[in-house]
Amino acid sequence: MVAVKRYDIGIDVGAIDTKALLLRDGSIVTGRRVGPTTMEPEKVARRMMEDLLRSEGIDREAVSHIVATGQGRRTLTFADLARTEITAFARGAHSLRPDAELVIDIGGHGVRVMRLGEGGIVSDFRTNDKCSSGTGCFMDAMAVALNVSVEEAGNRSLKASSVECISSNCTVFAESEVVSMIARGKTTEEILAGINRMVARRIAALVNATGSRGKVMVCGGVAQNKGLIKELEDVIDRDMFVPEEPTYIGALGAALLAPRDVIDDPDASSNDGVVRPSFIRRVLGWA
Amino acid sequence: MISAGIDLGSTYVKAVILKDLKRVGYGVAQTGYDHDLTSKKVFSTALLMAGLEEKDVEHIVSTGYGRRVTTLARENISEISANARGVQWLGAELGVRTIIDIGGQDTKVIAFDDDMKMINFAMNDKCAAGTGRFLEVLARELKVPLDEMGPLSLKSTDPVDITTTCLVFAKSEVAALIFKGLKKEDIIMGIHMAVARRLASMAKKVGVRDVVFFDGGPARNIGMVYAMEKELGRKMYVPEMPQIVTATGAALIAAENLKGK
Repeated sequence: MVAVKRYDIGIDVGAIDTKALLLRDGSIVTGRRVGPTTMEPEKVARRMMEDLLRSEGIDREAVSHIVATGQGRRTLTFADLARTEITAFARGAHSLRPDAELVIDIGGHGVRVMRLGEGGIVSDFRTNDKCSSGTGCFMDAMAVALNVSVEEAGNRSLKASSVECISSNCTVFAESEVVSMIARGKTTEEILAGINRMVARRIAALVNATGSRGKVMVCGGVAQNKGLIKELEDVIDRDMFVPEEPTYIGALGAALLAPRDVIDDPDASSNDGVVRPSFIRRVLGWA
Repeated sequence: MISAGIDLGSTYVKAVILKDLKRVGYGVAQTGYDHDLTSKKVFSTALLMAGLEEKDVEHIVSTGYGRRVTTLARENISEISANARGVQWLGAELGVRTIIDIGGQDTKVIAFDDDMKMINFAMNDKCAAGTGRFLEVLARELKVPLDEMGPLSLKSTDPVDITTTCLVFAKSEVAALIFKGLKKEDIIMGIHMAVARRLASMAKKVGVRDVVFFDGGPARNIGMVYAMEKELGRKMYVPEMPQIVTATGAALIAAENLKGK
């Protein structure tokens, strides 16, 4: 019998960016893509997936599951499953650091804090999804106001000799506040450090609300900002871990959430040992 | 007796001149960067209209978010007190019990007792949802001049439901609605309804009774008034110049303090 490789795809349709990740045998990430979600998330996601398969030389038929997550997960009609970002991020984070008790996901439109219990199961979570303060689009707006790229914002904030105090939480009002700070001659570094401190405090409030004192993993695109991580470490004051590619944790979690038990069912494979996606769909009632 | 009130709002600066307790001049201009300079410009516009000179004005009281910045006034009061005073005067015969004041960056609700004395108030200055800024930013997103938002929205037959609260998210939501090809008027009425929902829930916490007085710049928007009436299920009283009620109140307080001296 030929050894068959199993592939799953996780797609995280975020408010700003869509991330797709190809997972082999439930453990090896063989490819990933990220790009703006745009107004047509399905088109974007489909193109990403096809691109991933092409560059890895894999047939669509060899993919056992496509699992969607993120705010726009329901727009992907070609996905086999849709899971909330809470579940996906928790799963992704737990797979990398089983000792993490708290997962902080700072996404484009939402901040989520998940507390994980036994086996990485979410036991509690807090979100800030009604308000854009502290999210990726907050960071974007501030970077635009300061005329710096989000990529360089983190490192520049670390060079600040003092930290400005941002008094408005509201993205719209903070933008005006930043503009007036620039006019008063405050340096970009000081303002950036102030923004990171303000955001860190907001996230700390969500963390405190969970009551957890365990190890923390920070993920989501904004976790790439080193200045924010430093501020978070200061206010939360405990072991904090940022994965190498924090943006993809949701997509990774989604791919890992592909059901496995069906595959183990002997009837699921034909004589040549290849798992038939159509069979899985039928078994799960999506055919 | 000549007095003046200057209301330095986050978005607009307003000045009112009272001569023997009659409004004889007013001025309105965008706040801009230099609040003090703008307040002087607006004050001279009001003087010109009143046919008066600066030395004729016996007392000036400033109010609003930038009330401490202007060098014109020797006295300042909170915009809550100034607005309440303005309404007590303008709406004396109306039996006003609730004021909803929608500003450029904040919203206030004031409750009066049966003698039109202020008994309670609430203010939102922490979040852009439900403020004039919300309308301003989304009008820009729709490429509709702010002044046309009201009349255009009244043509709506099927208002959209804006599901997000945050202005930043609402911006994306509106962009998506435009992309979907929905009618502008339906989107705009949806925006007015979203602001009205925010205002109404705040007003209900303070208490809505009898005649509701609706003021602040955005109260000039007829679609906003319609949405507020629909949301609260009662008529709103909108003064002729809703934008200068607070400045009028400040001018009245200036006159009263002058008399008291």
